[in-house]
Amino acid sequence: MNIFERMQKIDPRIIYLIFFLSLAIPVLWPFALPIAINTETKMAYDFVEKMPEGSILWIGADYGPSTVPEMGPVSKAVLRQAFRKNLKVVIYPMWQDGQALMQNYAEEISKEYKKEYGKDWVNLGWRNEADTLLRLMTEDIMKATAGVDWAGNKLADMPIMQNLKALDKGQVAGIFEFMTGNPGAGTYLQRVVEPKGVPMAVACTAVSAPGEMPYVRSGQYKGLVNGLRGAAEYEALVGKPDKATAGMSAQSLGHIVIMLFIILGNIGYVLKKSR
Amino acid sequence: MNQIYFLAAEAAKKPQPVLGLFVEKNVGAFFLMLFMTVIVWVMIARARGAKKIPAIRKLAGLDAIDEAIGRATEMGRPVHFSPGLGGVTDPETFAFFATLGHVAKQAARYDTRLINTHRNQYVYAIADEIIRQAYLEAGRPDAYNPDDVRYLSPYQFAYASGVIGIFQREKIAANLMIGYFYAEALIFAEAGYQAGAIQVAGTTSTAQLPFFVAACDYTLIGEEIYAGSAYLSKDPVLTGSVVGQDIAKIGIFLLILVGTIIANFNNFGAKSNFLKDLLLK
Amino acid sequence: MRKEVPMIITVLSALAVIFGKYFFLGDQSKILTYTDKYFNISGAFAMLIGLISLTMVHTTNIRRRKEGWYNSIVLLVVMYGYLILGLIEGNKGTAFRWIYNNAFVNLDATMFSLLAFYIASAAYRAFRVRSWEATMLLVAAFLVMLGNIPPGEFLGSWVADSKNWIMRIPNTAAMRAINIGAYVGAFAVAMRILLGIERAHMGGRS
Repeated sequence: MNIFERMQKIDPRIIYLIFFLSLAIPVLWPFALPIAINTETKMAYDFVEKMPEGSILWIGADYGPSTVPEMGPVSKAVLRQAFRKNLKVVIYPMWQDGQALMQNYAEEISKEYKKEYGKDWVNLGWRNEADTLLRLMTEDIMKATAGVDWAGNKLADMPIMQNLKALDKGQVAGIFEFMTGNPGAGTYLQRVVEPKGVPMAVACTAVSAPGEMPYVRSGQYKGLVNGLRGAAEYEALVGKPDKATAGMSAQSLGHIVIMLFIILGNIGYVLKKSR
Repeated sequence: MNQIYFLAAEAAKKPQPVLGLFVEKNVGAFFLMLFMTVIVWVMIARARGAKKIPAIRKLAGLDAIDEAIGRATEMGRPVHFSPGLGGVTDPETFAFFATLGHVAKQAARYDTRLINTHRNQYVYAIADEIIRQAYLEAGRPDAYNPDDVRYLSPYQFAYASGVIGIFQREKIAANLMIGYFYAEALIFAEAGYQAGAIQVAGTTSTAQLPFFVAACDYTLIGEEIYAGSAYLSKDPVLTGSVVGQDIAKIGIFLLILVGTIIANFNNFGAKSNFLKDLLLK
Repeated sequence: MRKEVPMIITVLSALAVIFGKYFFLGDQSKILTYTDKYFNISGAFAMLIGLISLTMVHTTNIRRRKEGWYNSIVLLVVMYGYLILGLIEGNKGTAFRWIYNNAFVNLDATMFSLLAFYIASAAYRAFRVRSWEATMLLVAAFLVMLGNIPPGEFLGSWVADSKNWIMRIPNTAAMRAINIGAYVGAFAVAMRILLGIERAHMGGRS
């Protein structure tokens, strides 16, 4: 094998090792990088920022542990913004993992802002076929949830639920959906946003973002937070840099390494062809 | 004191029927559904009546399925077929069922081992029955091995790790993936590549299509997977339904074109885009 | 009747959903509320069936001493152990949450992180300037990758502008086209099932 063929056929283990180092070193020793804010992220931030104090923000916790590195930071940033603005937060997970993950973040962030469970925020809890129940939520939340939250506590006893009977435009200021797949934003679009007119912003993984972009362009989503980069932008807007901002150094170096490998492979390809 | 946000006017609005019959904002959708139903039904009726209908164009990915099975037969190594993460309510899974029958029959004919892995217990039960039936129809009921139809795990990454383990241990020669895939798509595709398998994949998931295109030998994009049953069986009635769906698509394309022209010419002096208003009535 | 009864149920359910979704009378009579509830109940049975299926598959593996049968023992012990713990402690239980947060979350994230490495090797292999289309794909990939990282901004605002243009215009157009095609295709599949032409799922041929 000559040098050009070697450049085109690098052993994947070498690629994996160099790529691993390019991610691990910045994770262990992160460095600061300035971040410009994308229009779609700003739209999502403004969407929450414009909600009147005391209004209800419905949070769709529809992701699993695999996407925690991307979705965790943006979840915390949105919760910080919501609690800072004294919004009432209602968490509804259509993924069973979303229940536990968002509960963890909400418990952590609510302590920072001294918010009380049942009064300032509630986790309605996951139920089987939660996407089917979403349509029922638009009619009667008590019926859909059987009147209990994620831990079995009675919703009727909670102050936050006194003026919230259904997921509709008159009672909920907006939805912030955290999604990585199905059920996700598409489910909300079909069952809540289009029929009931409740506005929605979405945070998704970078891999899902190209597929969600048409809905931002058509105005069906009020904003889109795209992956780890979007999460870092949102943290900057909220004014509290956290794991996403730290992760940008790893993402930057990782992307650069992949691009260098691709360039190397192409140089080998072109030079071999020209001989 | 916190103000509770409550749009009393919105809450007090009572819904009214549109045209005396329909739910608000659903009239356009209903007639669009009716239009598509009629088109598909007409083409199916034409096919049943043995009238001429357009043929399905060549789909390299579907042709490659037979090539993949042939390659596996020559190498004496198994074929793996995965339906992805879809359940029985997903149309992509039906595309998988339709293709599975053909693949199982070919595998039975050529005495090639077919390993079919699952993440959903209902899909597993149906696929098992389809494979058993296919082996029976091919005249090889003795060759059917129930242990090669495997229900691995309902969890995405547990299923993925089970599958890549199978790729390495069984040294598969062909990897077929048709259905709805999520993040495990690239794991399967790369593991299949590293096992040296020829790979044919098809999905409607826009997030996973780029990975299949990059890592697989042949990719069926979007609705091409639904043409599988018609293309492989050459059944005229199924072909009729595929033609009907294509005509429906052309209709939607024309609607988009007309709506775009109206919007670009400032709605021709009207207050708003009347086609958009009609569809969203 | 084995095939006719499911088909009749399918058609009646479809008509009920269409009536409830599009017609005012159906919407007011809350038919969809009932169908949603029944779907929810059947989903609960599906979960139970999943548990039973897994148990049957893995007990068979253990009984027949198939390859890797000891893994089946671990699976059954962990599955039923965690189930019993959850039933005793509930969602708020300390041990229940600790196991989830410290074991399951990390394991799942680790498997997902494999993708990063696979993407690196797949991109290295796939993005070659074999043709004009492949070159365009490569250039687009580079612009989007550069646009997504802060160092890309050091090269000038044209990087972010190019990335945004790619995401907002050609990407949106392509995604819309694929989605429209996929949904129309799914509709045709649904029609075939309702008309009884597609019967693969009932054990018959199409």
